[in-house]
Amino acid sequence: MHGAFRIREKRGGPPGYTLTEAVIVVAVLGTLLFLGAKLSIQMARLVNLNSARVEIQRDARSAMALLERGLRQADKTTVTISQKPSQPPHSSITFTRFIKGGAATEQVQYYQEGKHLYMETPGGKRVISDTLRLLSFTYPKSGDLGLIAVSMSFEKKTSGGDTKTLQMSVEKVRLMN
Amino acid sequence: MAVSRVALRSDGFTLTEVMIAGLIMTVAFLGMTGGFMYIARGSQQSNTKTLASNLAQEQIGLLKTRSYYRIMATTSSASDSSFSPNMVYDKGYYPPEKIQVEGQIFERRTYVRKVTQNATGGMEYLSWNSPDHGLKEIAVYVVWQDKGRWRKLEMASLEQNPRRATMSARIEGTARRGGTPLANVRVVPLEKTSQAGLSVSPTGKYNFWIEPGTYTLHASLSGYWPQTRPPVFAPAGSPVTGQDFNLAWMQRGHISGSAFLRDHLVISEVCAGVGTDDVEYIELYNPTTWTWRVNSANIGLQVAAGGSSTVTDLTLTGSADVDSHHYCLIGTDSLGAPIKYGAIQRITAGQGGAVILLDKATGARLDSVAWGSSNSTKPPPLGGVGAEGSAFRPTTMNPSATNVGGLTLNQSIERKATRLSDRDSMHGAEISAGNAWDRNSNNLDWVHNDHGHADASSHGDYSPLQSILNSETPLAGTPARGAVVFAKDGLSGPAVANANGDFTLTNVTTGTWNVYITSDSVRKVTPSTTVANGVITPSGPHGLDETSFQGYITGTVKDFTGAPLNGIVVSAAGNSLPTSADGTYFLEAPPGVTDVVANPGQIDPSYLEASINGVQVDLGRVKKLPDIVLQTGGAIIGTVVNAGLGDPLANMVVVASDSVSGVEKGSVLTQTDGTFRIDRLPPGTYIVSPVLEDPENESSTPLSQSVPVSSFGGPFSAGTFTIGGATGYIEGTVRRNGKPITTGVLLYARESPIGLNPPDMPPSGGGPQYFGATSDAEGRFKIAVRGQVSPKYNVYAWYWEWQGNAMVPLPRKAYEGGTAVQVQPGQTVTRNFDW
Repeated sequence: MHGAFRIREKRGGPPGYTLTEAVIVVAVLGTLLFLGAKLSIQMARLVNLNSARVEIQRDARSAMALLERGLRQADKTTVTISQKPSQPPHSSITFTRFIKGGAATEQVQYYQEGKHLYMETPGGKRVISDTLRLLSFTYPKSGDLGLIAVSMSFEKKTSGGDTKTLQMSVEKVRLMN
Repeated sequence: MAVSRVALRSDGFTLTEVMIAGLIMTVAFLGMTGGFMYIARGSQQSNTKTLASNLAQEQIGLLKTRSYYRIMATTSSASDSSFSPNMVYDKGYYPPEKIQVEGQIFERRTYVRKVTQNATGGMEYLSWNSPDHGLKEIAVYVVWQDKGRWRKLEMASLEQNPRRATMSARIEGTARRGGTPLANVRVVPLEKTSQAGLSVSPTGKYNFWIEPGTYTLHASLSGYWPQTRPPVFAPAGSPVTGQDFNLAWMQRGHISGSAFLRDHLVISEVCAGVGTDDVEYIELYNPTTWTWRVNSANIGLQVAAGGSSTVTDLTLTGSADVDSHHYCLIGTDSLGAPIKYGAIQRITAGQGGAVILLDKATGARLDSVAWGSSNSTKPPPLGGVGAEGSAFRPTTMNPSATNVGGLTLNQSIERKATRLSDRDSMHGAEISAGNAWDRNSNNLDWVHNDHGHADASSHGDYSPLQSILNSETPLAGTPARGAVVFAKDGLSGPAVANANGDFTLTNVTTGTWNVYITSDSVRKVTPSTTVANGVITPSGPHGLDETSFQGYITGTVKDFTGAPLNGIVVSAAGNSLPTSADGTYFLEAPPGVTDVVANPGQIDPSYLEASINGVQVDLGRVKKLPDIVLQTGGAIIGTVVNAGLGDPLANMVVVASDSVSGVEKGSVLTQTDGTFRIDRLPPGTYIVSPVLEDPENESSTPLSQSVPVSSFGGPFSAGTFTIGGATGYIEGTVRRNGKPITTGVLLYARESPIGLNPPDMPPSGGGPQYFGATSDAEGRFKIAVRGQVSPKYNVYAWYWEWQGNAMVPLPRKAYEGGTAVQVQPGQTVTRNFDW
């Protein structure tokens, strides 16, 4: 019913806090600070994780979209699935694709090298992603060269170093040419 | 007081104020949070919807790449009451799939229904087991849960059969003769002869399915007048009934007659002496339609005496033009005939003898006659000299009390006017008939005038017709033995003239017909002969005096037992006629080489078509062909269904091939009820198999069936072919230390072993194919392989693990050799890989 200030006035003592009061205040503040810090750390971690997830999802999506687009333009008779030295089996694909206008072609290669996903064209090579964990190309049936399954997983360690986030996508791409 | 206390306070908030402020701030904060969440969720939902739409489109796109018949209508469905109305979807052919995209779990469901377009253009759904109308609707639902509520995205697409015209119209009717139902009447729509109905016993009803359209129905049965109905429109759906036929029986009669060849001069009478031996004569008759000039340049005459083989040439003097049907008398000078051969008698009375008539231009013998007693007292010339067939040896030439024997004075031998002529008729009823009967046998062709009268009166024993003034119409001639006689009435078959030239054309349809009589290069087309029901119409005698410009082909059509087949159409050089009751046919054809086809186009579905190729037809000649044996069309029947609930598969191609040569002998499409019938197969053993559209992905059980077909009975069953997916699956988990591997493991299955590392793809050097897959984020994999009992599949897995910053390959895992995996079509086999 009554505010704290009124209580102190009632007692008629000199203004100030009792030791008990101070201790209580410190304890409360300490608890709050501790909880707040812990919470903020967790929140930060969550944010990190989330941004990492978003990042590799974006990586995965854009890499997959890029690969798909490239593969759809491929002449299926020119496809070779292999791997770079010391890389997982079937982690590289080479093909000739038609470039604008239809008549001209160029050779394109997508491959894994360590954590990097590369795309190599006569114009040079560029990194598509450096969070790659595994890339593999398979023919669901080697008798049907028109269908290729692409599987890629990406992984990014968050700032803490102890948590990982993983995104894996598998798509089947039908080669039109 | 409380008011003043509040007004006085200036050093802080009351607890109430703090609480109210806190409350307001909390509400505002909650509101803002809610707002943010709402926006976030909205954007999330929109994203989810896009994903769902992609998934639905993907499934529709996938199904649409299949051929129409491989899009299976849902036969086994599930219903989900989480939606209103309940969501129905396929759980058989296209079971629901769980798909995880960007952390959201979707379930994709498919529902395929047969649909038809109704009269108003609207769509109607059909049950899966109703006939296919060439349209299917593919509906795809993608469902997901959002905050505990089920959401769905629905997409539908129609797939039309590009090829098939639906047999959705039906025509029905009854065939009768008078009021009596008539079986075996074949009703054919002239616009589409591949479809036909056959009336059945005892109701006479027929029916058949056909594409919707307008059709002119034509009914036919051998022995009946064919009938055509006015065009009728057959719509889809409701059958067209009452397409009845009342066939009229073809009434028949017969034509009987005789046919003769009259192509040469004949010796018509020989007299050895009139009063005295020196007055003798030989009388010739011209039965042909042209004039013969008789003189020593053109005609040769020879005589021979009885008991001798010596032939003496007569020296003819004088010349005479003997017109058609006229006589010419040749005799000794004292006779006073136009043609003379001297004063000395050459034919001795009271003896046998012979006269030979030659065509000097060719040296050919035109005619001859030899005579003598029937016993050996007065024999004809020796060695058959002058005889045509058998010499004329009547008993009246035997010596007797009143007769010295042989051809005595005042008697003559005379050629018959007709086959039945005798001594008396020749001087009676046939006194004015030309003496032309010439069966090429003297014994049958001549009469002996032995009345004992020596005058030239009506009963005279000799009555030479003086020279070229006299004309008599021939009633006979050389019998046109083997001449073929036919009428184009469509029912009767050709008749053949017998040795006497007689023929009877039986079962001629009533009406007026020309009768064709043909023998070698001559023929006769008689004037119109009217045939009445059940009556034998006489015709002729006919002399075959027209030149033929055609050749003729004749033969017999039989079944494999040797029984003649009636009513089988035989065609050659554009002419067609059905065979007669005795299986014979007779066709005109221009000279040259032609093919003769019996039952062309299998007009009679009970028999196969047969032909004789390269038949040489000569002008005016009748070419007799070997019998054409028609094989019964054996039929193979069977059914093609889809694996699962046995949904009939329409329009599957089914082929029957000869089991020995492998040559395809027949192929059909299955009907809407999945059944097929391959007709008209010659006896033999057939390999029957459905033709798979995509042998990699579907299989038939059994793959093929060997069916023996004999000529008897049938149809022969090939049983049921079940078409199922050829795909089987190898699935399982991949784990490392008991935990699922989430980054992907490369897997391959192959009939043959694979080396330590998979080769570059596509593989070079042939061999069995590789079936590949990568495990998913949950450590599961599924390899689709071609299902088969053998060989088994070797399955391999390759996993590269990250250890620190390096990738390290773990040893390859395999099921191979003894642990290879058998996967049958439609089967799913589980194999796990653990590192």
